[in-house]
Amino acid sequence: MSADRVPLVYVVDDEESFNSLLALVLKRYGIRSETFQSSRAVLKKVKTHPPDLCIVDLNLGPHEKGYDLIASLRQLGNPDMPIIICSSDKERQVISHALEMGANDYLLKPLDREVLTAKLLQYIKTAELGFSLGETNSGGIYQTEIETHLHLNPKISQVEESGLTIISKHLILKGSVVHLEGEVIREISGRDKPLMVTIVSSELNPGEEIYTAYLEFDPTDKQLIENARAWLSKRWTKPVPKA
Amino acid sequence: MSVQGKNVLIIDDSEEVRYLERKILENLGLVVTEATTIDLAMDILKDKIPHLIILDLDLPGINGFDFLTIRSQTPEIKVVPVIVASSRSDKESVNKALSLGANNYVLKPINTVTLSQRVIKHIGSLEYMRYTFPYILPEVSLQIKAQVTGIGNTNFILVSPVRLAKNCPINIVPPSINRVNLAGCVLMSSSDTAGRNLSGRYIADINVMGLKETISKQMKKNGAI
Repeated sequence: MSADRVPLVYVVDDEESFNSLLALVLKRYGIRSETFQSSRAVLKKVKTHPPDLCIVDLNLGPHEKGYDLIASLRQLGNPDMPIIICSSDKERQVISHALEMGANDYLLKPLDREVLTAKLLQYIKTAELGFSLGETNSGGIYQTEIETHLHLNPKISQVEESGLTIISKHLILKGSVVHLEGEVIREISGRDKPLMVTIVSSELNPGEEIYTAYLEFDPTDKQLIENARAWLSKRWTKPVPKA
Repeated sequence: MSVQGKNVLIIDDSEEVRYLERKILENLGLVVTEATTIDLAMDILKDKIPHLIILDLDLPGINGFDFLTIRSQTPEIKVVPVIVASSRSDKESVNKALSLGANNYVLKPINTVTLSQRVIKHIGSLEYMRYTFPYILPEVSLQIKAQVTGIGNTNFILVSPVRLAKNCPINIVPPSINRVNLAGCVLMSSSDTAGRNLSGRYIADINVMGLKETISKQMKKNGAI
C-alpha cells in the first residue's frame, strides 16, 4: 500500500473532548482522522472526500438526530462505507433502529480500547493497518468447541396434519432436527413443551431472499397427530369438490 | 389418503355389531374407537377427530338422525365423513339420513366386502386438513444445535446447519459463551458469505455489538484471546 493511502476515518460527536480523544487514539494506529461536531459539516465533506469509515455519536445534541445522519451518510457516501455508532444508550431498541438505518456496528461509551481496535481491524482491511494493529494482538481468534443453540424466529405460514410450513430469512439444512416453541405451537401440539420436528425441505422463494421450509412431525407420535387434527378441524374449511 | 393407521369411530349399541365392524376395519389397517351412545361419542370427539364415523341410527337416548343434525352444526365434526350402518331399509330413513349429511348408507346385516369398499372409498378420497394463516403469520421460536468454534475480541465463529442471512440479528441459548454473559449485546451475522465445513455445516462469523468494557475483559480472561 502506498504511503499516501493511509486510512481516513471521520468522527462525528457534539462533544469536542470525545472527538479529540478518539482522534488521538486513531493517530496512534496510524489512521488519519477528521472530527466534526455537526451533521451538516460532515455531510458536506463526505461528498467531496469520502472516508474509509465513519464513527458517529447517536446523540448529536438537542437539534440533531444520529439516525438521520446515518441515513444521509448512506445516501451521499459510498454505500459500502462502514458506519460505527457510538453512544451511551444501552437499549436494544436504539441499537436495532440504528442498524436498520444502515449502521454496520455499535460501540458503547465509554469506549474500550480493545473493542475499538478489534472493530477498526474488522472494518478497515488494509495490510498496513492490519500490521500495526496486529502488534497489539487483538485480531486473533481463540479456537474452542462449545456446544450452544442457535435461536431464530421464523414465521408459520401453514399447518397440516403431518407438519407445518415456516418462512425464514435463513436457510436451514434438510434433515436438521429443530425445537419449536410459542403460543401457536402449544395450541397445535396440545403440550406445554417444545415440539421436536425435522426439516424435510428448504427452498428459496423465487424473487425473494426468504426460504420456505417444511417441517414434519414425528410420524410415530400418534397423540401429536391427533392433537394437530383436532386443532385443524376447528379451522379447516373443506374445499368445494369440482363438479 | 391411505387407509393405514387412520382412526375410525364406531357408534353402535350392539356389542356384536361393534365387534364385527371392528374386525373388518382392523383388517384394513385402521385404528378403531367405539362408543355405545351419542353422549359417549361426543365426549370422544371433544379431543379426538377421527377420519371416519360408522353410525347406527337406532340408539338409546339421542338417535343417529339427531347426531347427523348436531354434526352439521359443529364445524369440527362436520369435516368427518359418516357412513350410516342401519337395519332400516325403508326409503324414508335412507333419504332422511342422506339429507341430514350422511355420506353413505350400508344395510345390516353388515356385508364385509361392501363395508370395506365404502370405507376405503371415503378415507381414500379424504384430503389432508390444512390451514393457511390468512394475514398475520405467527412468529415461533426455533432452536437448533450449534457450536462455537472460535472466539475473538468482538466476534465469534458459529458452526450450525443454518446458512444465516447476512447482517441479521441472531441469538444463542443460553446467551453466554465460556461463562461470559452476552445478554445485553446484539449478535449479528457478518456481511461475508458463509463457508461450509467438511460435514456440510455452515460457518458464520458473528459480530458482537454493544460490548461493555467489563464483558470484553471477561472474554479475554476466560480464554477467549
